[in-house]
Amino acid sequence: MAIYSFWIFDKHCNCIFDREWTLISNSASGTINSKQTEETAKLLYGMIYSLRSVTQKLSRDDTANDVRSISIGKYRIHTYCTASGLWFVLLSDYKQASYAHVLQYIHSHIYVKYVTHNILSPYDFAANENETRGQGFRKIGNRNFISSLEAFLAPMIAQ
Amino acid sequence: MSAPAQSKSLKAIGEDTWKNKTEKVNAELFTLTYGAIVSQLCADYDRDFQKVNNHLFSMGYNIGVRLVEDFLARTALPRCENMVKTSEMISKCAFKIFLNMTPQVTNWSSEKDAFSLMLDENPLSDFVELPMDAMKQLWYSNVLSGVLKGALEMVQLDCDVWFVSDILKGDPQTELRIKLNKVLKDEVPIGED
Amino acid sequence: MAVRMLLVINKSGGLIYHRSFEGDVDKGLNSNDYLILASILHGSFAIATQLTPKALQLSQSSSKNIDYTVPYIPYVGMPRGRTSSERSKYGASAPQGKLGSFKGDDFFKESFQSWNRSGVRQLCTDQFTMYIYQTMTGLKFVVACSQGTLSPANPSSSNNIFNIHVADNFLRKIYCLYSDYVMKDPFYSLEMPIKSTLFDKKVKQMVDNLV
Repeated sequence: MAIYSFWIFDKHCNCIFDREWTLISNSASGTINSKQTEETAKLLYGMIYSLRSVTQKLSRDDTANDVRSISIGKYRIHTYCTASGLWFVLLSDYKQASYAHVLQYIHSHIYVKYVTHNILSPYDFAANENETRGQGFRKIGNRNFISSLEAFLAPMIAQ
Repeated sequence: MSAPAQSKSLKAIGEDTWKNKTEKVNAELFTLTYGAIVSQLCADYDRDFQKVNNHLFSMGYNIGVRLVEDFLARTALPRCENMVKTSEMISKCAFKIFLNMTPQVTNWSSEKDAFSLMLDENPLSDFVELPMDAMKQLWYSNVLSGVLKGALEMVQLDCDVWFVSDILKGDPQTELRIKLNKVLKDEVPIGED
Repeated sequence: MAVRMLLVINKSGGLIYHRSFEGDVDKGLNSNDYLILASILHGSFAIATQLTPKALQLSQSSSKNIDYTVPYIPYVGMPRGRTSSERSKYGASAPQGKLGSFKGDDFFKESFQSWNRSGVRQLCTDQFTMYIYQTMTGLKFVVACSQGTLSPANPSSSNNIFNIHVADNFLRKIYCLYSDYVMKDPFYSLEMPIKSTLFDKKVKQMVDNLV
């Protein structure tokens, strides 16, 4: 089972965190918040956004219809969108059917604990108007957040 | 599970599809229908055989762009890596499935981008004898060149297809030449690596 | 398990066929909305090919043979009652009749290679699952099924590769129907919307057989 990358997007269309594992089954490899992944982040955001708009148009009975996963070629994109506009996105292979519980745990126990409840960390990563609409560049640099995320995901990558 | 094209040769795929998977039509009916088309065209164009050739080619082109979907739906064969594979697929699968014949592939060019198909039997021109004025100019089976051009264009191969010789014209054999001009790279459907 | 909608998109991203199979009509989705939907899907399909993760790119470049085979799953979309006892119940003639220009009881019987290597194949949402099948000529067949799966044998998870294979089989058969009833219609112009009652009828038959 392989996890390829993990991303967090906020409601201002910015990518506020990305973690890419470049070698399969090697949890120590890869990059965190690297500049080179900015292009990919924008493409990923754009694609999820368009597919979400498609699915919302096709929903009936006014019940929420959210994208859960997108299978592409040899990998799969899992998304978890919160009502506050945060998107947690995980790219993995086909072995595990759903990562919804994983993403939910990351949101409720890791993000909320280390970012939202941390008074000294911004809750809104766009400092001013110019950093909204995809123009932002601030990322989560919180060491506690990163280390607990690594600790949580590492066992899943190494399998 | 190995890919079907490797485990079963193209020849076997063509044979099996022709024998077991396609409904057939009477060959004489087919020959007579085609002959009626050609003779009517000659009458309509007042025996201007160049125009008849061009018209047969454009008819074939329109057939080819549609026939290729039938071929792909029926066989689901993967994309060919080079012209050698393409020539095999045309002669062993496509001609076999639609006309029940397997022309020989010969006369390769040095860059392997042009080849000839030798048609030893041609169901379109069974029982046909050309009159003297037609013998000099008319390519009776020109619809086949149009079909091949149209079909190859739909899979992003821009080719020139023409008849080099025809038994009906008095030549020793019927030879159809196919030359690749270029691969239409920007038209390849996105998602095929 | 039920097919909700079928779309056919031509190689330039234009919608040439859309059909809803549910009794209830979608709230106010007119034909313009469907056109927009089709072009969004076409665009996202293209973007998806550029998103391959680095780890996968590295491993793919090292190993040359990647298996894109879709196994043949028997009788997807074909009428039930294939056993001789049931056939005698229906009488001598098969309920479906002939398959156009395809001889035999099924359109194809062997596994095949997928032409869709790095594009979107499946989209799972809360309410439905959408599958996309692309042909070598750039045509895309899109089917949306209500939550569950295409196959009654697997009600638990809709995120299975098996379901993608069932959908590929089903959509390839729709492609066979397209090559027969649309391509061979002399009055049909290429890349234009499909208006063929025979095609509609056969598609409905196949969708009904799926439930």
